[in-house]
Amino acid sequence: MKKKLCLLASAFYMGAALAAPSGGNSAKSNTGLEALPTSNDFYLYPIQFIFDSAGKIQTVNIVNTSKLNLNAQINLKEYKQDFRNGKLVESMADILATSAVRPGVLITPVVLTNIPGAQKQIVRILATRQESDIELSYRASVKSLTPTSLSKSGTIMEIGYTVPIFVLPKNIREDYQISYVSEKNTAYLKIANTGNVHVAFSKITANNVVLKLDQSRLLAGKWEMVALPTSISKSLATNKKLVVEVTKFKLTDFSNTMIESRIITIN
Amino acid sequence: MLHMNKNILIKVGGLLLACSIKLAWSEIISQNFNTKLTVDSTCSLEGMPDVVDVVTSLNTEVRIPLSFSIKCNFDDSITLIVDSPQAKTDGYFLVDDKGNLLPYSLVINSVIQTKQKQTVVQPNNAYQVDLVFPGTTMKNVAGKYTGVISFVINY
Repeated sequence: MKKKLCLLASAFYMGAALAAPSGGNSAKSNTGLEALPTSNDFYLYPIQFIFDSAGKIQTVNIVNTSKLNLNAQINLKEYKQDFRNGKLVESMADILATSAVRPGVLITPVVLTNIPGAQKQIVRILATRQESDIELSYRASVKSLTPTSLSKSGTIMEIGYTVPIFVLPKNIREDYQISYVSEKNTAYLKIANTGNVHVAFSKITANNVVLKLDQSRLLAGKWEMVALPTSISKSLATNKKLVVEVTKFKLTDFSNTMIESRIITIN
Repeated sequence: MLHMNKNILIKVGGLLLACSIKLAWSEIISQNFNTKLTVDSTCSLEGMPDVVDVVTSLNTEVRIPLSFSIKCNFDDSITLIVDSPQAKTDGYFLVDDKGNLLPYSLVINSVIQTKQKQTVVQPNNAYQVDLVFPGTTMKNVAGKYTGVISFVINY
């Protein structure tokens, strides 16, 4: 009985969840903002793709929520992270047709034309290559194409989405390290992904204070320095203990999180 | 006596059922809201206008306020990026009717950090940003500009 009720409640929740992003055509949003005339509204799901082997296919649903037909273009880009001005920032490099190494995924179709209003289009992603020890990381950039009839009237505001795509290596190593670093009178938490696959954090707290990360998803081999709030760094002078609680998404099932606690003793 | 017992049994049964419904609901809610992301997780950006006029003149700052909201069916943070219209690789740029490229640095206030062009935002909030086109001493920049400015939700 309880199981049936759970399923019923789950179905209800899923229905509500699907209905949540309703696009921008309502007269007034629940945020209290008067809705302006909107640009080509659409959304997509799922919002990330993980392949555990080559040869598999996954689908992206692109939903047109406007009354107008939607045209959109999809570009595959390399998903990278670089350290700039003391911060870990994301960059997306174009994958050119002339590139020496063929990309590890194939997307089709990449040009979507005339998706009718309130309809959805399915796009397929095929993993074509898998490395033995390195995770392949990409982003699919989905942008609406501006109707030419609008382009002469002013500056067009467009909406786009990028979704991460990962092809896991054959030999997966999941590991990350957290350490305390003090530099130039500033206390940091160094979070390093020492594995060969990405780590996606949902939340990291230090002594019960939520930390603001530059990137909540760390690609393989990447690390970031998170400055600790002054309240924590001051308290460390007397209390030499830092309790770090990490909530991270499971690698192949991002609907589930796991919480891990680590205690760092400051010397 | 038997009738009374039946009534009591029905009442107790009803209470147990109500309790189990409440328990099932609380489990579902806690499971779904704690896990946050599902295969149907998605966001949409609402309230963004289709077209804005960018008209600038020499030495005059132009500030275009934009209000919008990001609605998601989960509560984990996401990144919002404003694509630079000067990123020619995407073919997005602002030009006037003489073909002059508008020299500007995109400055966004409010929650989005100045000149960062990307920021982590909490879904289900309303945001206001200003696109700012600073005044310039360069010649031939006055005019009305056309092009594309792209707001990208980066999952």
